[in-house]
This record gives sequence, structure tokens and C-alpha cells, in this order.
Amino acid sequence: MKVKRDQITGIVLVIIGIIIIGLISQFKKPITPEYPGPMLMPGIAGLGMIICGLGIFVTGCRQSTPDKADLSVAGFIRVIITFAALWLYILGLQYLGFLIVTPFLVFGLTTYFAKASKADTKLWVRIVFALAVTFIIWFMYVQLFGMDLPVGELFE
Amino acid sequence: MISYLPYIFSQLIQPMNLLLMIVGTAVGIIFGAIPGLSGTMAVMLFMPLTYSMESSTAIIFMLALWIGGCSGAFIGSVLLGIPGSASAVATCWDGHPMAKKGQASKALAIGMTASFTGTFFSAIIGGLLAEKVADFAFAMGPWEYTALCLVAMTMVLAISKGNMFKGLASTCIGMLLATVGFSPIDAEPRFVFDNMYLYGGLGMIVVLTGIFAVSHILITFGKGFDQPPEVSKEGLRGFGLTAKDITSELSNIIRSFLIGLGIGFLPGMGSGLSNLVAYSSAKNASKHPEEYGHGAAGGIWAPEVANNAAIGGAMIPMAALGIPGDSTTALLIGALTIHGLEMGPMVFKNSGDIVYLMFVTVAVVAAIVLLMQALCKRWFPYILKVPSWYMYSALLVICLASAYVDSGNLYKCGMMMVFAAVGILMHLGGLPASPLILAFILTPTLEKKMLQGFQSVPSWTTFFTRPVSGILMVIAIICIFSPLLKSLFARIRGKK
Repeated sequence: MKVKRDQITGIVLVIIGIIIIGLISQFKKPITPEYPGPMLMPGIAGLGMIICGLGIFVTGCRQSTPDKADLSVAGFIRVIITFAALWLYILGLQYLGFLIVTPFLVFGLTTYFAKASKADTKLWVRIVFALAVTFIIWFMYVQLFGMDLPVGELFE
Repeated sequence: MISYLPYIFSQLIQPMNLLLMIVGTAVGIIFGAIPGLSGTMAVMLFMPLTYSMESSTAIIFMLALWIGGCSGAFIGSVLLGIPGSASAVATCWDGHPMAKKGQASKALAIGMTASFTGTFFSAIIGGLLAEKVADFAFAMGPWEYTALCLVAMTMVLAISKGNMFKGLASTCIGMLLATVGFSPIDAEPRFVFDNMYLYGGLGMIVVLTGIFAVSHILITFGKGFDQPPEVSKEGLRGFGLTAKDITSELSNIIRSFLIGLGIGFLPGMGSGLSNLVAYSSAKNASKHPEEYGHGAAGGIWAPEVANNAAIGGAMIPMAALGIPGDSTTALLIGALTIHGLEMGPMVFKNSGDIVYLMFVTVAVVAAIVLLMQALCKRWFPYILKVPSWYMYSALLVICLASAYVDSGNLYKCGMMMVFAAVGILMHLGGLPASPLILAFILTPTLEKKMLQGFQSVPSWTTFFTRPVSGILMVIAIICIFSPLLKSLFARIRGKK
């Protein structure tokens, strides 16, 4: 028997709900009928997740039609690669700062996105675009609105 | 209100405010027009920019983004047959067929005029009614507020299609995320795990941009970007609309306006529903319903007037009660709180000037949108041809910059990526995002008011025995079970 999407979603929600209920039992202020205190809201959320998880699981069990794949394996890999690039970017921001790392990210993402979409883009256009986006965002945030963007630990 | 006019006028003519109004409107129209983006996303991404601004300037900028986004949504519907956002779904059904008949100019002109009519007049009515609603709200205690928050959170479930449990689960996730940090009244730390970054809560920008924007971009890329569409530039000359075109649809316009205003006023509802209801009412009332779906002018007027009239409608509970009409007003309430403006009945006493500035700004922006769209109509096809690979890479950088600016540390950027992963998992699990947004923003108010209610009268029965809160609680319960009730009624009807 093939496991359905709703069954997995339901089980995950039930597990999270149980963890939440376990965590709120450690709160100092107890829940009473006269005053529910800080436990009530996360309690409702946790209990709600368990009930909804069970409901979604049962719906998944009753479902007769097979699931349609929302993302292909190739698509999922594309998401993971982009995700990893953004994490690397955050790491780069930490040490090198916005102005140095951003052109590389924008150029890299634009190239990757275009290549994955089988689009024909010119190298110089991507370079100019990466530099322009970096400058415009930096100018808008830092110069125009007086906000800070990461300068990088190496340059602080 | 009259006494505030000099202040409002002085704010609107300030060069910086005027410039931001125009820039915000243009950016909003672009975000609204491009399928996949929306005015809500524009408000979310550019909100941190407003932190260093004066309250009035920030409000003007965010409202311009919102109104521009709402008004621009019909462009994609007419020229591509793909709605810019959920508020323009019904516009596709007649807008695109009319454009394909070679009447793109007329379809766009109807969209522009209808958007202006809906936004402008609803803002005026909203401005006139909001204080009256606020006066009524003074009689409301914490019990009524709790019940109203519950109605706002659950109404979105009543209109959501598909599995009731999925909408509710999304609401529960939003509630849970909102409880991170110190609890209201008791100041008990919850889910902070001795992490100093979590004591202040998760932060609206970090959670919502991660779940709503970053995950959306990554999923869109995962599914594969579409090639820039071929959009015909023919037939886009001239305004394309005569006075007779307007007068012949007057009853449709008035009906759709009232539908939009009413639905916008209901907490938790919004333009996403109003355009569908107005379209079906227009079709039912039409002498030629067979023309609908084949390029009928009434099929563009109705959804466009209604979805924009929902703006003024949604602003009434937002200003008077502090309860959002839809997810964008929920965001605006959060943003205004950052600027020290707590929406609710007291806001008219404490910051009446700012509240009326909001309504007047919406009306002025509606006029700017009309002017901008009329002048730039022939360039609309170029907006829709922006390649996704350029647009989305720039937007991802803006998302991360917003998270950094919002918190001043890179930890929150990392946290935003975690929420992007949560958003992706929610999408894969088929959980909708809208209930989460409303629940995340409303839960702090709901919890605070509920605990205040218990402090005044230590019994939960009070929530049901007070007339107004009792009725609202019953409505909230009906909303939760409405998908179940709907399918039950459908089965009974089917058996008959």
C-alpha cells in the first residue's frame, strides 16, 4: 500500500501537537477554570494540531485517487540547491557583508534560474543586473532610508 | 473629520510623501499585475523600509503599495487570462475573452474605471462610517473582542475550499507561532529555549516573509518558471470607454459596490471572495447571462468594482475595531503597531488625524492609480514580460534584506529561511497560508483580551452569556464546522 500525502501530513501534525502539549506541561503557571493563563493558547494550538492531524490522516486513508506529484524530483532538487545558496549567502553576509556577497548571489541565482528554465540570457546582462540590483537595494535601504545592511565581520 | 483636513492636506503635499505615494503606487501596480506576486507581498517586503519614516509617511507608502497592488491585479487577468491575485479571478472570465476579441483597450479601461470607482467611494464611505463603528465598539468588553477575533480567524475557514482540517491546522500553526516569547499579562516565557532572540517573539516580517514570500518563490521555481508570455500590444490605443458604457452598467456597478463593501467589512473576508460573489450576482441579474464568459462588459465591471470596494470595507473594522478584514489589513495593523498606532476605538481619540489621513490617502491613491494606468496602458504588456529569473532573484535578496533590517541581526535571516522551509512543507502537505497569517496576527490580541475577560469575571461562560459575544461565538463555531455542514447539506440534497 502506498502512503498518501495526507497521511504523512496528518502524522506530522499529530507528532508536533503531542510535542507542544508536552512542552506546555512544563509551564510554571497552571491552567484553572477561573484563569487559563499562558497555557491555554498554545494548548489549543497543540490540541488543535492533534485533532486536525487525525482528521487529515483519516481523510487520507479514505482517499481513493492517487496523489498528484506537486513537485517533481528534479524540481525538489532545484528548491534544495536554491535553499542551500541562500544559506551560504547568509553566511557570506556575516563575514563579507552585503555589498560583496550580493552580486555573486544575484548573478548565481539568475544564471541558475535561467539555465533551469532553458532561457537564453547574455552573460553581460546578468553581470550588469547583479551589480544594479545590489546597488539599488543598498542605495534604497542605506542611503535613502538610513538603515543598516550587514557590512561583514571582516570589515567592521 | 473636517478639523483634520488642514493636517491631511499638509501631509499629502509634502514632496517626500507625494514621491513615495507615486513610487508605492507604481510598485504596487507591478506587483499586482504579475501573476504570483501581489499587493500583500509588496506591503510585506517593503514594510521594513518604513521603520525609519514618520508614521504618516509610512502609512502613505504602505497604502499606496496596497491600493496599487489591488488595482493592478486585473491587468494579468485581461491580457494573459491569469489573475494577478485571488481578487481578480472572476475578471479573467470575461476580461480575457474581450481582449482576445481585439477589445483589450476597452477591457483594461473598464478594469481601471471600476477599480477607481470601488476604491474611491469605499474609502469615502469607510471614512464616514469608521468613527460611528468605533463609538459602538466602546461598549464592547474583552469578551466581545475575543469573540470577534475568533470570528475573523474562523471566517476564512468558512470560505476555504477543500479539507476543513487543513484550514484549521494552518490556523493552529499560526496561533502556535504567535505564542513564542513572553505571554501577555503573566509574562511567562514560552517556547524560548533560553534563546535571547526568541524572548521578543518571532517577528511578523520573519515569519510571514519566510512562509508567504520565500517559500512561494522557491516552490514556483521548483515547479519550473514559465517563459515570458506573448502579449499582444494591439488595440491598446485610446482610453476605450465612453460615458454610455458606464451608464449602461450603473445598476451592476452599484450592486457590486455594495457587495464588495459589505464583504470587505466582514472580518476575515476580503476581495478574494467579493469578486466571485459580485460576478455571480451580475450574471444572475443580467438580461443576457449567456454573454457572460464570452467577453461581457458586466463581467469585468462586477468583480473589479467589488474587489476594490472591499478595500474601504476592510478598513472600517481595521481602524474602528483593530480587527483585519483580510490578510493585507492584518499586515497593516501589525505595521501600524510598530509605528506606535494601536488600531481600535481609541485610535480616533488618540490619533484621529492619522486615521483620517489613511482614508483620504486611499481615495487620493485611487485617483493616482487611474491616472497612472490610463497614461501607461500601452506599457502593460512589458510588465507581464519581465523574465522570472531576473525578478525572483532580486526579490529573494529583498526578502533577506527585509529580515535583516527588521531585526538588525542575521540570526533572523536564518530564522526566515527556517520558516521558508515550513512554508514549503505546508505547501507540500496542502495546508493553506491565509489562515496562518490571520491567526498569527490576531492571536496576541485574542489572548490578551481573553485573559482580561477572565481577570474581570473568572468564568468561561461569560463569553457565551453576554449577547454580542454569545452571538459571535456561535458564528465562530458555525464557521469552523461550515465545510462539514456544507458537505452534509449537499449529501442530503443529493439523496432527495
